[in-house]
Amino acid sequence: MNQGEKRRAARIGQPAQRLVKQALLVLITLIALYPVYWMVVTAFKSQPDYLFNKYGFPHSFHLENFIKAMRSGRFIRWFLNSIIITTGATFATTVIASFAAFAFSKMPFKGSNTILNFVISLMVIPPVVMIVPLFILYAQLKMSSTYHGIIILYTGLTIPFSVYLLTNFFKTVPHDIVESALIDGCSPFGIMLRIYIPLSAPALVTLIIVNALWMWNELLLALVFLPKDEMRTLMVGITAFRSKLNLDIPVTMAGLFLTTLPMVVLYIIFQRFFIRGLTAGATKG
Amino acid sequence: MLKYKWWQPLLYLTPMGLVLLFVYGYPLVRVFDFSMRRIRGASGPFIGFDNFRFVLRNPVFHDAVRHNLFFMIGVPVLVLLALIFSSLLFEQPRGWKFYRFSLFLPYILAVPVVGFVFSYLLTLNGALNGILRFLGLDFLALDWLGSPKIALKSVLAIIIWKEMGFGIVLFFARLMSVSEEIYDAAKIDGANWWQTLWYITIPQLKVVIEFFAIITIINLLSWVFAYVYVISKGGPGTSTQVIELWIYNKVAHGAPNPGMGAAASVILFLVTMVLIFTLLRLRLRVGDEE
Amino acid sequence: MKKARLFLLLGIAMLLVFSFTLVLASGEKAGGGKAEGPVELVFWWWGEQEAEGLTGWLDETVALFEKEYPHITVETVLQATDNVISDFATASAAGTPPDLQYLWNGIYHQENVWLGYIEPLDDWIPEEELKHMFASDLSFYQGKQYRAGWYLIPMTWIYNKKLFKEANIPANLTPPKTWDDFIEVCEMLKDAGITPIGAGFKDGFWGEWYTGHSLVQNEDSVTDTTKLVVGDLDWENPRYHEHWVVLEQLIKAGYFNDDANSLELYPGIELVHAGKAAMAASIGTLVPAAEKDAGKENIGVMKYPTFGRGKLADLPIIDVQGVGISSQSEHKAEAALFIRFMHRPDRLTALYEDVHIFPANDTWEGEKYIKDDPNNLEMWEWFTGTNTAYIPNMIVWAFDSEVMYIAPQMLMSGEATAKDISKLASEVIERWREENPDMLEAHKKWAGVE
Repeated sequence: MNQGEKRRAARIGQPAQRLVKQALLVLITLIALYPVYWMVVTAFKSQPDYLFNKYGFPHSFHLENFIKAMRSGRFIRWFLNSIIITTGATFATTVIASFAAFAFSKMPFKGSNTILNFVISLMVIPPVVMIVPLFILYAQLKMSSTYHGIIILYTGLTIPFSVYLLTNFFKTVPHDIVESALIDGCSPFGIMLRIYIPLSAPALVTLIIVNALWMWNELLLALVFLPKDEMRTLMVGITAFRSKLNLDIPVTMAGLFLTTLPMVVLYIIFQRFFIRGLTAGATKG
Repeated sequence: MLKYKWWQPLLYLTPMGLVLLFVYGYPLVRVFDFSMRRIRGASGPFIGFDNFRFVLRNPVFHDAVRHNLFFMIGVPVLVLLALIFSSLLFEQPRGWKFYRFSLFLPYILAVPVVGFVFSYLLTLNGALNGILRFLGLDFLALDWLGSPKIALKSVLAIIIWKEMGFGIVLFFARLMSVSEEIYDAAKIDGANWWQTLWYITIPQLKVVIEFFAIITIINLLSWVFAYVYVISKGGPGTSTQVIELWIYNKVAHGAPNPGMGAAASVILFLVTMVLIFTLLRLRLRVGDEE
Repeated sequence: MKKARLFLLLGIAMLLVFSFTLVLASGEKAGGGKAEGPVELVFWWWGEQEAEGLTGWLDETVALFEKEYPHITVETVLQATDNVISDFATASAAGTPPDLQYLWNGIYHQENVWLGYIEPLDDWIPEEELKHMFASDLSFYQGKQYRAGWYLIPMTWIYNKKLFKEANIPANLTPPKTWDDFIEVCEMLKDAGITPIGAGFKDGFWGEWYTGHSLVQNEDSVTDTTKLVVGDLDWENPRYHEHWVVLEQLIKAGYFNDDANSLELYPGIELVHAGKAAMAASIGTLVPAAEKDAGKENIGVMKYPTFGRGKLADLPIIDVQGVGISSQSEHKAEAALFIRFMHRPDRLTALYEDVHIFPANDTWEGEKYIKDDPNNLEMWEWFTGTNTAYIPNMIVWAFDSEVMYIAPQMLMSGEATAKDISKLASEVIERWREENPDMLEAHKKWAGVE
């Protein structure tokens, strides 16, 4: 075929191809969204409506499910616990990682790169490896079922990734801005505070979102280290008190819906940051 | 570089050092110690490598390891899905932003929530089978989570459902940073969709594909606890048992045997170390590229 | 410039102070309070999960107790099912246990007794009171009682009378008592299009309950169970796995709901409440809910029909949940006072009337308070008559999760036969023996089988 014929062939193939591509995208989107849709829709059904009609649209909007869900177990308390723990640990990890990243990127010394690589590689260690000794240590130190106990753990587990992200970002800050600050007689701490932090605002926001998401959704550690019912996070609460919620599935779905709502709302608003932050691992900047 | 006093970087690194020592340092050292003892409560008598022997001969542990390895099928599946759909998105058809939003949504949902929802959707008389029966596909209405033969595959399917958004968006982001000219040139030369994918897209994505593959392997090895715990607790029978759950069971419940849990943790840790070194070498390559 | 930096540092300092205070304010209280002056007891408990309303009863009891003993306060902590026992063991090993601890029967607390974590109650509670705080034989070790009973769990099956009538089951078979009667009833129900037995195997508990109902029928004494654990008796002996053989027969005959493997325990029981199945293994504490859902006159209690030939074959099974005192508690006397307070007559009655469960005290006048409730009356009479224990309490945890939980699942899916399961049982227990030589010795002493 000559060039012209090739092009014509390509053009004729186009609409059919495009249809197939669109269809594929639609299909995968349906698959991605259906379970979420099902959860939301079931949350509004009354029990008999659900038993009769498992996958259709609700016949009426049964809002009591949400009230019942919030009353089962200590829903509100769990919600508050999640908020306290997530904000506390996110704050701690951001601050600690910022200091460390600044040192790694702007105050390197012999061996600092090795240390950096070592810290980053900790990301890969599965938390389950740590729970046996920590579980026993916490019993001895009476740190089980405490806020600070779990906050320290969450902070520690998110530091490697946070340091990785921030160090990479700090490295991209152009040096001439730093130069002028140095001329003005700024100390390193001043430079960090007044230049790097403001410039890193998008990276910081991204980091905060990524860490907060991970902590909000975390299950294994919260299960092991927060056995006391009133200290539980939302995730553990809904998992552990399942036998109660089991019997009324729409109410269960209502509870799950409420559990997942905060993060989904944040996702809708801050979509860019979620996507950028969670994929920052392999893309530059 | 900045002028700084020698102690300043150390000061900045100290908080990080303390926390990491506590969260990683202490347990990683201690777990080796525990793995050699019969732990009752907080400590116990030294029993050498017995715990390792017990762990390695335990049939349920074998099942768990086999299942984690089975999950590795998810790696090529996820890579394939990511390749296909990121390329489709890259062409930016109508509504691509909505597609990207929707495909990424499962990834940000909490695993327990996802687990619960699917555990109801997939019961023998649940919504999925309801739909299949409605469409006349009765023979497809299987006992997704109740039959030991299928349960594990169902769990893997759920994991893929949730994780695929990550790969798609990751590859897509990388593609967006690729120069448009290459693709324009290809179009002018009359390359079809498949040729574009094979000769241009994939080589461009090579590093990201490797990165994603390694991350996924690690995830499927050690970050699936929440799925199994919520969906099936390892059942029916032992058909969905995984390594993390096996270790967890040795720590919690009626009569724990933390020594064996520690031994299994050590084994898992050593295997992970191998993967860490691979990742490190990969990172160095990424660093070279920059 | 300097001001801005100062301001920022101040802000960070304030935030740190704030979080530190928050953290302190929510820190966990120590187990065992100060020695002189006011006493604080810590009570780690469980039970709301199976007896709805128990929290209310406990809060009320604590309030009344604190009123009568103003210098004592009681802090109650509801634990999760997964952790209630393991947390106690770990805390005891670490030297920080609570004063009072909820204890499931049998092995679950005995292992802690052997490690020295639980105090014998004989020294702290007067004998005339203690002997009525029923905790079953399984709470004794070398002659001393380590638990005081709290509430009973009659292990009962329930059946839906309405469905029985629909299938025209004659009165003498309502409910069935012998095995032949049982099969006949199942056949009649099946013919009438009714699922004979409703069950959920998915989370495993059904398998344990089933073993409790059935294995005991082939035993002559509950210590036979321990003999199976320590190796004096063999799981592969047909007598000791016949219970799985008959389960296999029931499953193969199609008497169970077809989605048993994808339902959990409670949804399985609910099938009977909702009139979708005729019989189910349940427990006494769930009977009120059944009566509420299906109507009081439509629910009956029954024993698992008899197939076994041991001395314990026809006996009803009564389990009991209890409370113990930690051997490291600094306030054992006050803890004992609380336990005795829990057994005051008005508290026992409140347990029945408010929480609808039976107090574990044989001085309680059941006949007086159980009015208009033939099911409850029947279960109470099981307690006051000859009964036997819930034997899975004597079998080690590994056996639970690796054998008892999964046996029905595997029989249902056809993955294993009853014989395979008996072999599995033998292997699992053999491995346990090798991995826990210290516990093995203690088991032998416990059952007096040296």
